[in-house]
Amino acid sequence: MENVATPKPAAGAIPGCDNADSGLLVRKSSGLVREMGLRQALAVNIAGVNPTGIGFFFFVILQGFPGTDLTLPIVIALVGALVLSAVYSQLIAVMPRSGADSVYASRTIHPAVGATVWATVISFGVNSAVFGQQYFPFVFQTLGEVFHSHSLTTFATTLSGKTGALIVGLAVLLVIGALMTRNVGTIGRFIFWSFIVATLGALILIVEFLLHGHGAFVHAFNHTVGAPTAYTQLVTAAHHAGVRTGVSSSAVWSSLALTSVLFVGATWANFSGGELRRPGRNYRISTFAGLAVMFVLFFLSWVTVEHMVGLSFLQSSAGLSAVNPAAYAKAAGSVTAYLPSYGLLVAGDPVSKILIAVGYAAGILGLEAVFALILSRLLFALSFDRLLPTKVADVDRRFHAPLWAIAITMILGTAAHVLTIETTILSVFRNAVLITFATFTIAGLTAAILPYRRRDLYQLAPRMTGPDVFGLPMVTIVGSLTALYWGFLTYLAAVKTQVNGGYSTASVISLIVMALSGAACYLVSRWWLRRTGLDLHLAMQELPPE
Amino acid sequence: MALFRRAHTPRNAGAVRWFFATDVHGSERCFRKFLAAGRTYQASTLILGGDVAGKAIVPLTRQDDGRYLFRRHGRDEFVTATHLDATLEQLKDSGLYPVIMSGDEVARLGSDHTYRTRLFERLITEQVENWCGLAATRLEDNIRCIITPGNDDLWCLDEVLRKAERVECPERECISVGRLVLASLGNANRTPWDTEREFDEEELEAQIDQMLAHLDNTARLVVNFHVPPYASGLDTAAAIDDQFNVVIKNGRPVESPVGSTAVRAAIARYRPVVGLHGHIHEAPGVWKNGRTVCLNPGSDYASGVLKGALVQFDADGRYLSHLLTTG
Repeated sequence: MENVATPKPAAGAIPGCDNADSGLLVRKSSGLVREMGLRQALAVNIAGVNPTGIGFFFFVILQGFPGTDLTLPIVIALVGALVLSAVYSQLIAVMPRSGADSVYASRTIHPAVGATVWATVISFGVNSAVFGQQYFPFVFQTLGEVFHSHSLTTFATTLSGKTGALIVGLAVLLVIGALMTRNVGTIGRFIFWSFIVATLGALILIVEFLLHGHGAFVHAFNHTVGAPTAYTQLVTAAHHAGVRTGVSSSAVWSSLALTSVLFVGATWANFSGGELRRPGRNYRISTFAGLAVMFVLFFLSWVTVEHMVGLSFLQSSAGLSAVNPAAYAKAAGSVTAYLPSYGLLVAGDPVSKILIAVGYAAGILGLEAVFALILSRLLFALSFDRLLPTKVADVDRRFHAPLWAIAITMILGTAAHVLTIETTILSVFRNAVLITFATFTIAGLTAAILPYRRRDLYQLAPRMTGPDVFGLPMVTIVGSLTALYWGFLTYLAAVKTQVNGGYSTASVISLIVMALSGAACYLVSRWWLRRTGLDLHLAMQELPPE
Repeated sequence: MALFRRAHTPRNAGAVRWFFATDVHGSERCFRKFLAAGRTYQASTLILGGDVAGKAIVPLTRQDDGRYLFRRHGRDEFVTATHLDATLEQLKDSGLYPVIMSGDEVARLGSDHTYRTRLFERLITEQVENWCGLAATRLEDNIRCIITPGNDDLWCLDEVLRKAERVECPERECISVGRLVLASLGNANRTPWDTEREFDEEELEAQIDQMLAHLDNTARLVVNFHVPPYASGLDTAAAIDDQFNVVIKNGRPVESPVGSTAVRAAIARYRPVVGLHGHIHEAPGVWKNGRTVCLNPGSDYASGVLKGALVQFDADGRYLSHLLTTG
């Protein structure tokens, strides 16, 4: 977003002085810089693949794909995320604007395709923005146990209820909304420190998994449940409930789709691309660094928890808690199936327990801030292109932030939150993940054709993916690979109920509406503007320099 | 059936379209795109609203091995003679003036202010003369091309522009463009950089009044004032201290409006239909004040991207709509 970036003397633009580093000879003139640096981009990218995922996604994947082992999917998902990041780094270098996929697809393929992409991203973001409240009871429960505080554990129970969840969710949205009125640097710092605290919690969790052998866990679990054979009983109960354990190649491949979701957040700094200094370079470094950090965290977490808890037990507890929660409660007592709770079972000292719990909360807050940042910036970009009313792009004089875009983001988030708590209506959007995968496929295709569709822009931008091979631009090769990989995942998402959530008439209709709403919005905006004789497509029309 | 048909004239019948861009700062690519805007956007009038000239020279020094050394993005880069032309084009497209020179000359340019100023004058004049020549060959006869200076432009630029065959430079003048009247002013209020064309607000106000006070009717007036109105959102910039560092308070840059109070007062007083502004690259947007729609398309000249604004007027010169473009 250009208009929060701040003019100041460019390198060497100080009257009478040249900046030796720039190598330029300058005259007296004004200059500008972009505002978000490498650290902020790193913060956005890393928080997008928040360590909170360790507790959440592993559990969801094990539930959804009985018979999977995540070791191989984590490695393959990393490769898929790396090619996607390489593609985005080139696209952002060529088109350094906020709005990500909608900008790239609009300018390279067609504005209607770009509009379709943004509608999906918004629906994904709104849906995702409301999940944070689900995990706070766990945090207070843990703190209550550590401090032997009945009030905290009671409070945790209250938060688990409908009213409690509603209040917590609204409070989180309020905090995030207030944060969004700050500049991106401040938001970036918040996200960065959230990540640091969350990572600390995750590292402690890994250390706990690593330091305790399988026997120690079995003993701790049995002790907590209050039955000498509780561990075995839970596995047996799972078998009786029809939960499949062991490893099957079909389940491993199928789980790749959801495992890939773990890493896609590493690409999210492109939504603020217009605010990035040296966008291509900073984006690539921050993304690759984020992926490296997160791979280490995810991989170590998985390997160590598998070592300590045992794959069969992990699969049994995740599966049983899904297919028969009552049987799970009977077998596991108060121990939840989330992975961090297993860490808490064996953690001896209260400090570790507190850090694991607080890290979890910090990670959730950081992730919510990322979602809000993405959505508000996307709305701003769309308004700037006149796909939404121009009012949405207004930047408030006092806060120097797009308050209308932020307000809409918060209203959408609040509505989604209330609807999630009070109704099941949002379940009609469960197939949205399909278009999310399709979005990344489109990103790959966009990059593949970029050197041919937007040759002039491509030639002017630095090469982020590498030199040409036999005259074929590297971005075309990497883009094609990306499109193939994410296309395959789109296929998996389409055929696997565990990924798409299952089809119903309402969900299919909502899927179609989502897919077409962006294009419809584009056409309506175009019609509206055409009444005055202007055509919306001109906003993105490339001017031939020759 | 005729009963149900409404005979009406579309709002845009006979409409005219202007294209406005600003702050290209010497970018060859942006200027060439500007010239192409008439045909591509079907605009009848092109306006380049100031800060035409580039800001920096990139010295390239020939090395013993035949390669040329220069610095880009803070790093040393070497280019062979084979790739020299392509590199020079890239630098020019980014708004830089690449000059092949000896190490001694680089040192002199660094220490001799007058020498450097003369080189800038020569490079800028040559470039704008070339651009005017390009305009003469590329522009269709039915397209008017108006280029006015901005606060970063040397005074010598006006003469070059005024002499041009296909370019008009109505700086500090009111001219008729179809049914509309265009008033242009490239001068700005004071900036921390002490640039070429800066004045106190009172002086700016007098300059504006001198142009507009005699107008009987401003219902068809468009102002092309380089500096945006004060506190319009089109003028938000970081506060800067004496050392040109961004002022940080409570962990965030202190931002403030830096536009002109004289321009804001003039817009309130004369109520033009449209205000075309630039100056603050990173504050693109739209500001409505009464009937006046003020636009700042912003600038991303270093990327070779031409940001602009299309403004649509009806046959009577009334404002219809606008569209910010990225070309």
